[in-house]
Amino acid sequence: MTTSTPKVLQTLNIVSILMFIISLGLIFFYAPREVVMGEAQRIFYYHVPSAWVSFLAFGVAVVGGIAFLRTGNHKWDRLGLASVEVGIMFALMTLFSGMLWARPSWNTWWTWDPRLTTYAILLLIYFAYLMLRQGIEDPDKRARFGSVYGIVGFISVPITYFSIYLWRTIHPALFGTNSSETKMTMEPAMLQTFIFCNIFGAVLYTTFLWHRFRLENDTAHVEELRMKASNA
Amino acid sequence: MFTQTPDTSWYMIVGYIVFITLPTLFIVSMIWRQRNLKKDEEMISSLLKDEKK
Repeated sequence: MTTSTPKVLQTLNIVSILMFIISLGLIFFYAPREVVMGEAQRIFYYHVPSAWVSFLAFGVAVVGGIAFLRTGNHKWDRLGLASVEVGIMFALMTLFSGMLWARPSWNTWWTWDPRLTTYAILLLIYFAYLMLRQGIEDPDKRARFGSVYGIVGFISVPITYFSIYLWRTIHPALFGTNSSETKMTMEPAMLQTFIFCNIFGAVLYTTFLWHRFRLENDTAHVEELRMKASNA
Repeated sequence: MFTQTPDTSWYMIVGYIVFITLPTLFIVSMIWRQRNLKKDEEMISSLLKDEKK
């Protein structure tokens, strides 16, 4: 089993907790209330970071997949798996919070808008990754499958990201649109809060990934012991 | 024309419950899996020791 928690990870734990508290302070006491949407707009400060962090997590799974296929070192596959699991958690946060934002804004919990639809498909793709992996007994086959699936499955990420630019959508865009209907503008206090929450998202992802990776290393260690016991 | 800001506090509260609940569940599941692994490791190690004897 892994040894005691490294100092850097311990520091990351504390930084994550502190940033969480500060972010809540900024969201509820510093950023002003948005006039059109009211309080529900504050969902946006965690919704957007959750979304891009989930993309980042699935991107890390691609890096892990490529590195495993090149080196055959199972650590990379474990990193990919850990990142996908953390990514799914952030994706669920994005999806549920998006629905809660949509209800007062669009008067519906769900609509088959290109961004929402592609994001739901993306989530299903990565749920399938976890389920299909579990069905493979042989560790080498499982790692190879996970790596290839992680790389191919990532195609859904750019499709989801660019869906709002490719098709007609009601989903707001932060960057690269001239449409006054979908472009968002922010007051300085809102922007500062938003930037802080994005940094917090990245820190939280790193912390979770590291913990989940350590857990996966322990799982591999116990699996090895089990093999030894069954061969003895 | 001036329009009144709607009261959407309920959606915000539920939203933040989601933001806090999901990571908490993830942390709890990691702790739970870690405990089970420790138990498994202890059991397998004792089995292997018995085999050696």
